[in-house]
Amino acid sequence: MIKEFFRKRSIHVCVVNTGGCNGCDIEIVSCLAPRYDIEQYGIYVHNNPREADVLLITGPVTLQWAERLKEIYEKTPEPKVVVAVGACALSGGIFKEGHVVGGVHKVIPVDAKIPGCPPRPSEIIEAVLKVAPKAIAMREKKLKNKDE
Amino acid sequence: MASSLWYLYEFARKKWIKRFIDAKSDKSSYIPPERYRKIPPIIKFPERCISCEACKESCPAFAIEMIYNESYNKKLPEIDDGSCVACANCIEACPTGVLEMDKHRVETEGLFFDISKYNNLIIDEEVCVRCGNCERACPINVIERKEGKYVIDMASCISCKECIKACPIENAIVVVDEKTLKEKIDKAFEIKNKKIAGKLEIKENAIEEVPHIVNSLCITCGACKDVCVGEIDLTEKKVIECVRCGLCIDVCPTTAIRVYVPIIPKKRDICYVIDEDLCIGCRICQKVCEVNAINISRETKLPYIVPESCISCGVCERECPVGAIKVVKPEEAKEAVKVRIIEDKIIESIEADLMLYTEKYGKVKEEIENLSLKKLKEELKRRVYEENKRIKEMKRELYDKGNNS
Ligand code: SF4
Ligand code: SF4
Ligand code: SF4
Repeated sequence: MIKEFFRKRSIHVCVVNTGGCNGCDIEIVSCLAPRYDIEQYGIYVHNNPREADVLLITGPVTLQWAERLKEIYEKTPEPKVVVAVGACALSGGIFKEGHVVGGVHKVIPVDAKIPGCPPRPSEIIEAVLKVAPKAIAMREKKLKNKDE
Repeated sequence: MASSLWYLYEFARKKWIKRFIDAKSDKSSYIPPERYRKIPPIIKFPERCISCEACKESCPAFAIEMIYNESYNKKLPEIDDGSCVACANCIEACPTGVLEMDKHRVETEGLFFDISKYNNLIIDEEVCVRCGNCERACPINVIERKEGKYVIDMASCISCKECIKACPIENAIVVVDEKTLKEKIDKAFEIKNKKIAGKLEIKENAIEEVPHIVNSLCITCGACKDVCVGEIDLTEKKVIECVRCGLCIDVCPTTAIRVYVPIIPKKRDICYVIDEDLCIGCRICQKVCEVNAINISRETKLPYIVPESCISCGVCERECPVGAIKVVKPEEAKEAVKVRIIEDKIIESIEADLMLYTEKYGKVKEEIENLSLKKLKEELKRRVYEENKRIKEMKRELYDKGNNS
């Protein structure tokens, strides 16, 4: 109970750009700025996968990034949530025909998708807030069941 | 002091304070403004789609696929929202306004950047005089002469409109832009709906003749077929049944279906004239002139240009091997060939008279001949008769003499 409550109030986010154009990253950065002020919702950006609950992944996943992304995913402690941000992370976007894997879901399991090129900061916040606590709680339950 | 007062005044303003108070509650900050990254575009009027794939081609993110839809019996675009980058290219590319992204269209209408992106240039084979000026003017060489007609390769054309500048005819190159396309297709759509609902009033015999389809202009959009109460065969490009209501002419975006279109020359301030001192009488100019504006003078046997028929395309000037054709003002040209035209007319009339006379003379001659033949026969008969008489008499004389002795 208490854990759940605090989970809701403290979500640690790691932003990973897998070779996108930086548009989505800028939108994420603007989430930190006073206008959207992500910390008021208890979301903290650490950029350290070992501390993170949520992986915010942007970019079309270039061929070099595919392995690295897996590593980062493995490094993040369970329970974890992966949110793909932007058209590129969903399907490869305008880089579809380049040297890309095309979509985060082809490399690691994705929990939430935010379409847009780039999506609005409010959409990003909304998605993280809506998905992260529930997903994390569910994962936790599963983990517990496994342990028992 | 003064500046701090000013700052105080500035900060104490209602607007400022309100902004701080509303910082997290102001709705406007999280309601996306109109035309702001609304993805994906919606297929607002699927019934209007003509399956042209313009949207698919224009999409930079390859987010659109054309998928056959059974209820509409045609291919409709399907937009993958995971790939859409909200560029709105598809909306602007769609000639019939099928797609919409919030109020995208409404907002841009009438603004300074609301210019057509696409201009399709098509040569009207009926009006074109085959001068080839456009072929020469085209900077990327996509105009070609095929089977005696000039054709623009639409896929390569960059719509620079150099050919239109070079073309001597006002309406030989038809420009079809998005706007006209949309307008006409909308109109066709309206009429078609009325036709289906049975509310369409048809005025028969509104046009004088049964219209025909110009092959090169027809883009097979089917607008005419949709509104026609008779029958139009688009594969053969023929009007089969017609009540002459004129609806198809109204809705054709390229003016391909028509009754008659005149050739309107652009340049009326210049004309060409042949210098008879230089002309060697090869008559190449007469052969290349597509509008038959060059006549051969009967007096000098040299060609001359009739200013009334000349459309100032300049082919003859270009083709003349000795450079005998000059550009002059139309009045001068008229003056220069006046004599030749009058001469020709006189000679023509004299020739016509002569023809008449010779015809008459022939008849008279025949009569004379017929007459003389009769007389000849009579004469012959008479002579033969006389000769016979003489011989008889001689014989008798001889006989008498024999008897006497
Ligand atoms: S808005 Fe742009 S990216 Fe989205 S479907 Fe249309 S053309 Fe493609
Ligand atoms: S551009 Fe418009 S008419 Fe053409 S296929 Fe796309 S939706 Fe249909
Ligand atoms: S009349 Fe115009 S369209 Fe025809 S060949 Fe000449 S320039 Fe080209």
